[in-house]
Amino acid sequence: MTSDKTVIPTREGRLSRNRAADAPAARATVAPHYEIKESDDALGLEVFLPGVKRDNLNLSVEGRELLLTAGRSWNRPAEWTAVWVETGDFDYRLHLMLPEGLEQEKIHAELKNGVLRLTLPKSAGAQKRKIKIE
Amino acid sequence: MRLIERNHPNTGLTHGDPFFGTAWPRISDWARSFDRLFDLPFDDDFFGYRGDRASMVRPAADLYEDGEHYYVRMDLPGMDKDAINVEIERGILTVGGARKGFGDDGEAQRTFEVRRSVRLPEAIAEDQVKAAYEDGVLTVTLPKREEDRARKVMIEEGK
Repeated sequence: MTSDKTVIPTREGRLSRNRAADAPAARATVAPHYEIKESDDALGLEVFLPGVKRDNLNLSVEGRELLLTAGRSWNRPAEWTAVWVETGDFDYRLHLMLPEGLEQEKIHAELKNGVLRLTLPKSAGAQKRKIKIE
Repeated sequence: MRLIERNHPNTGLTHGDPFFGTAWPRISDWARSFDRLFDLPFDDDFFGYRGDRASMVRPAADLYEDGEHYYVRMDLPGMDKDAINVEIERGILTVGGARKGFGDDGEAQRTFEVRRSVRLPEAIAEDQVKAAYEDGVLTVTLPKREEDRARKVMIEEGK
């Protein structure tokens, strides 16, 4: 598990965004920014989800597919007038193909300050082993 | 841990890719005439890198107002509350801060810096500014100065 193809992002994020552009009335979907890191015994996935609360986050792993959906919502007080808006209410969606050899029962997830951090431990067989040269 | 993939140019502190769909700023007609003022030329370093392991990001920001306040909301996911600096100088609000990358260790440790300046439309009561950080979003509340607030004039009934 050393190649940069270990985790293959699907193209869904972009397709969803195109759909959203075609139908402006619908709530938009965007792929959140993420980073994937690897150590000898685990993969680390960091997903940036500003404005997302724990209750609005769904995460599932089925087979090798990881699917994350999260809703970003904020109730603007009625008396606030927008002068300039760059953020927005939309749905985050991330669909990743995980490599084989992960201990799925031991996946650890933590959402803090709008960042989801996932630790995906490798199973013993998939871990990199140092070979002693005699 | 070493980085093996990411889907953004540097750190992901902004959520939007301006070339795809939803990240276009929605600008009110009034604000259109104002956009040059909002973004200051000196923080136009969205893709700027500072060395190998530190990079600068310009977070997405909103500006709202009501009768008594301006409000700036900014996406700053993953920051430590105490590591966020909010400053106002000569009518310009500047938010800055830094965070460490997740799972980085030793030589791989990266520092991400974020900085965004917003020119405020009018003078505010600088000593009464408040900021709150929740779910990776910073909200700065900037009270308008008493003398600048729009006043509702009571019309008395003639006798």
